[in-house]
Amino acid sequence: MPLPIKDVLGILVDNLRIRNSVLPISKKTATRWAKKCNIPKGGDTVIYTGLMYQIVPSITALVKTLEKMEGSFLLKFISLGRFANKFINISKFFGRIDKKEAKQHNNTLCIIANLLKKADVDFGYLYEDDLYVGALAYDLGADDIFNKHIEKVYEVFKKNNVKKIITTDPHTTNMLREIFPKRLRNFDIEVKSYLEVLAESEIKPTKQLNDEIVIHDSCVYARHEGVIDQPRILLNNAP
Amino acid sequence: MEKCYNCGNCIGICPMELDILPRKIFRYALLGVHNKIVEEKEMIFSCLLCKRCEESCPSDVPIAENIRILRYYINREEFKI
Repeated sequence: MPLPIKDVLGILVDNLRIRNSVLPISKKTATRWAKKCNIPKGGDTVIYTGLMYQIVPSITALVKTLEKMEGSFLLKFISLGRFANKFINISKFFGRIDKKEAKQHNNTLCIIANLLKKADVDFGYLYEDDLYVGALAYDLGADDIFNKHIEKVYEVFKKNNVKKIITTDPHTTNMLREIFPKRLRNFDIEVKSYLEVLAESEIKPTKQLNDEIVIHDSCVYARHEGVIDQPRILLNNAP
Repeated sequence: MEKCYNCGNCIGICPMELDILPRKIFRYALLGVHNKIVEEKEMIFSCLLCKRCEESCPSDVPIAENIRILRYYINREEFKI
């Protein structure tokens, strides 16, 4: 028996509607990285993760659980799971999160923040107001719920007087830069990826780069956002 | 969607090897064949929206957005989401 798309998709979009994220995680888990690397709260310019790195371990756990369920009798009860999820967050039961994986993604965010600091970029972080931007709901065509969710996200930006956003992943960049302005009247926040901010700065790698390397252009950066030159500019500056 | 002239470039380059997307499914959509679209929902929801197909499309069809719209259609009409 294949996975019932309707129920799996239903759980994800119900989560977004009820709990503001397709896979809800605690505020502590979401903001741990920023506390660790001492990012100040608030400011006109903020680094915005959209929780994309932080929810990856939950996605991994979900995928593993669904793989185990595929073909099993348990799939018959997934619609019951969707019903229960409206009252209790069943994502907690999707399996244990790999702490090593979570640490790795938190480190990536810290590395990005530290590079921005070295490039003399003045920025803060919204902490508990760093909300998921709804990328998966948009990609899955759950537009009605997505449209309501992005109004909440925009209200949070306005409440915090955010003028400029530095994103840390391609999906959040694409949502905030391309989709939000099309669906929200008066969306007036400047959005740039950290790669663009770093490429425009004076930052230069200090270590020599002697090896031949290959860049993998991600689909969203390269074909949705046109962010292709920036990593090359940064690497070409290596001594 | 109607700009698609069924050349098949998109299928040749698809990293997911989805052989029905997008050209056949766009025909179903243009003809309004609801049940055929719903039958192929697994394929429609398997697309990565990576736009590799759009790079090779000689007719500049916005393939990824069309697939997304089909998902929206299935969500509303079939899944009631």
